[in-house]
Amino acid sequence: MTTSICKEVEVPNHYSLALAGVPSDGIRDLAPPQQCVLSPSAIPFLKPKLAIKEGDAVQKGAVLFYDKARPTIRYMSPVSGYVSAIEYGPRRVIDAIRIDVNDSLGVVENPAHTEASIQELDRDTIVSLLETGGLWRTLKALPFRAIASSSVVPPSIIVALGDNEPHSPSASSVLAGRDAEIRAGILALKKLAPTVHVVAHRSDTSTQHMLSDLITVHADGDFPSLDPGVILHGIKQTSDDNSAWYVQYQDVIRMGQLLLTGEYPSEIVAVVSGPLVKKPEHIRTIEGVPYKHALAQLPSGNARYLSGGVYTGRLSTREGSLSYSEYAIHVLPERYERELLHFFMPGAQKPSYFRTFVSALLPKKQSEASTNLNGGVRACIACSACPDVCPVGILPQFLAKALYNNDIEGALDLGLLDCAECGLCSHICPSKIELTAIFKEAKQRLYKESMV
Amino acid sequence: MKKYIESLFHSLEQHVKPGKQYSKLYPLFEAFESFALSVRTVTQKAPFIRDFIDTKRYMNLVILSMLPCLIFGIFNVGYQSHLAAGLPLDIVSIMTVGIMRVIPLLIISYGVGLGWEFLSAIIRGHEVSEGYLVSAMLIVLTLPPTIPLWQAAVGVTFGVIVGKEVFGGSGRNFLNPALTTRAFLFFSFPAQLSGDTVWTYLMVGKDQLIDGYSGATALAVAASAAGSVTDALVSSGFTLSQLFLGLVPGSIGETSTLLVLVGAAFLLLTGVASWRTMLGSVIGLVAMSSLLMVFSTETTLPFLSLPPHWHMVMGSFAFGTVYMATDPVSSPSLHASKWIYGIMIGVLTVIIRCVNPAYPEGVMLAILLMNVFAPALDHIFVQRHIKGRIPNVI
Repeated sequence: MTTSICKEVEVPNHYSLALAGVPSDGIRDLAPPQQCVLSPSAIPFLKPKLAIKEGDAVQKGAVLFYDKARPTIRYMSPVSGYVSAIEYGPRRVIDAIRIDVNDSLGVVENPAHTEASIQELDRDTIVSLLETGGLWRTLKALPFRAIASSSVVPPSIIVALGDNEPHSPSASSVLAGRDAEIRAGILALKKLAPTVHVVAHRSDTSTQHMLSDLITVHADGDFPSLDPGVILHGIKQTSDDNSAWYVQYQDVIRMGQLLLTGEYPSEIVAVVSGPLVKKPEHIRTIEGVPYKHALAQLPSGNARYLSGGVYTGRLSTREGSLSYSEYAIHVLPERYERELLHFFMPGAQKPSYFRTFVSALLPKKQSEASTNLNGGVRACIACSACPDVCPVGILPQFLAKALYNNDIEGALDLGLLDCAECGLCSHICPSKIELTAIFKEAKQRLYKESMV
Repeated sequence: MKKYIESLFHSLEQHVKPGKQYSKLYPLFEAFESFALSVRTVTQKAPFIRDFIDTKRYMNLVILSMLPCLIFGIFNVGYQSHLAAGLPLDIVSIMTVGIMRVIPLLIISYGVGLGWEFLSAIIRGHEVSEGYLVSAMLIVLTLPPTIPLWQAAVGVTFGVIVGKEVFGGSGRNFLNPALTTRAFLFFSFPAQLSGDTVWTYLMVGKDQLIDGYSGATALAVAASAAGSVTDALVSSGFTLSQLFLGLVPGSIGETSTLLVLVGAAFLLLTGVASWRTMLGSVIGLVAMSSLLMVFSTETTLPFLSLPPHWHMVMGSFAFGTVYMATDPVSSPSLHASKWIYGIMIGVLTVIIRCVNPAYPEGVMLAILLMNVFAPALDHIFVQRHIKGRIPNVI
């Protein structure tokens, strides 16, 4: 196959923000942590049921907890060790499971396959291998991004080779040396759905070169052009395509590892970045690594810890960790300091989507992110900037107003379920309206209703 | 300095916090605090970083873009006054006359308007929006310099309350509050806004028939011309270059097309105003006036034969198009509907000017009319947008 027959997805409304703290290319091998921390409460839509209790010994790849509603969705222990603590939050949500690492306990062994033998397996076997191996959870179904249901055959599965949210692991670094694993993973996915869309970014030549026979879609444009929802919006032909599944590419590699070795693959490549991280870099570590282990030193003072990117990540704390399938840690300054008569200042140091600061005339510089809202919350002034950045062609201002009036039908017509939850509309809103959060919450409500 | 102000606001805040004695005054406190200092609020929900833009910045740039018009307006008020009274035309005395006249109007406009804004913010417990800072300046620039201060106060009151606050404040109004004020004054006090003695401060007995919205002396000449309109205009002292430069009697800030263009360039460079609305409005005006020109004969009104470039510099077409029509809240929200909105403003302006004998100027009414139609225009294009999407429903 040549690349010329690939589908092209051009994300028209992309908006690139040059954030400082681009991680260096090489991957540093992190020493194994003494303790792993997993957070069931961080997983959307999940009602976790514990399979272990405090003090239990668990093997790497043994079940820690599973979904009450769908018990085949299992979450495995990334290490062998003893459950030292289970921490509960408000309303008895399980905030953290702490496991003290002890390698002498051995690992759970699953059947190992070769690429040829995977080829021979049928769908049900693949499903059960992924379920017992603890990686079925990585398959998500659009539009709600909830964990896929194995009884459904999706129209397609989208695998984006990379993530261009600032700053995510570089796909070419992660994929280097993982040729066999990613191929085995994609082979398994092809058993689950009639089509697997393998997407590479147009600028990522090394990945395109490495997997040229597998890649079917080229994406172009800045973040969020590699988001599965955005890619689906670019390639879908009919409404039937809406329920596509997707998997993060590191999880596809891990699927391949699981099938080829039979061992739960807890090794991940993550990025540590953010203005408060001294040396932004790639690290090779394991799932559940606590921040204080992943970062050489925790910054002092007010800091915001995020698992995942600055647009779509998960709010965490200093005590937090990289939980399941999270591949970035960001530490941002909580900027409480104030500026005198800020709106009279020319703003040479304030990069913006808008041309309202002098920075628009200066050469583009990398900017330091902070968590400050940078303005007061106001009513929508209909500046009409949000549709221009939406990667899936939604009119966010009308969608938000429809939801404000509880007009669910109208919101669905306007494309609520197409929303990729990328956060760009909220990011640029001059009135600081939480557009993305409004859409996310509406989708979650709809999902819960559709489940009943 | 900054430390002092911060601690001042901090100590004030102790009295207006929820549960404290003056908690009702919190919106007032917030307005002043956020004027002086940037916010210290941090994001709670994804995305965790936000752009530096805020509504204050947005509004501030509009005010900045109006400053050339304001300064020229102050000059022109004094200049016209001295010209008419036969006084010496030295810059200091001219500016003094202008300042004496315009600054009280500014104080009334900002003072009374913000008073109502604060009051409604306190009653409803929401933040004071920055929108009125722009509206107040717009109102002053569209008023004739001779308007009594009490009338300005009444107009501002009407504009803020009926034009905006009854609908829920800035962002929820469907009419441009500044134009609402102007229209209210125009229809309530025609003697002051379109009589003989109104247009030039201190001037008595100008024998031109003068009308409405925008220092429309030239428009009145054109409307009542018997032979060639351009000849009538030139002989009344309204040459093309004078109209373009703005050295003619009129409302305070809108006579100079040149300085409006300067403001427009600034608004377009900063991206604050919609170029689609502006260009659409110019296209509409050129198209409609050319059409009338083509169809005008010996027997039709001579005004119909006026070429488009005259229409553009006369009255307050430029000011209305650049500052009033582009108000984001009262204009439609989609790119396509902005085109239609702009074009219709241009077309309606010419129709009201040339065909309707009651109002020689049409920009104010054209924009207000299209404000009313803006939601309908958006509705049409939103429906089209929905038809273009591949449905994604459950």
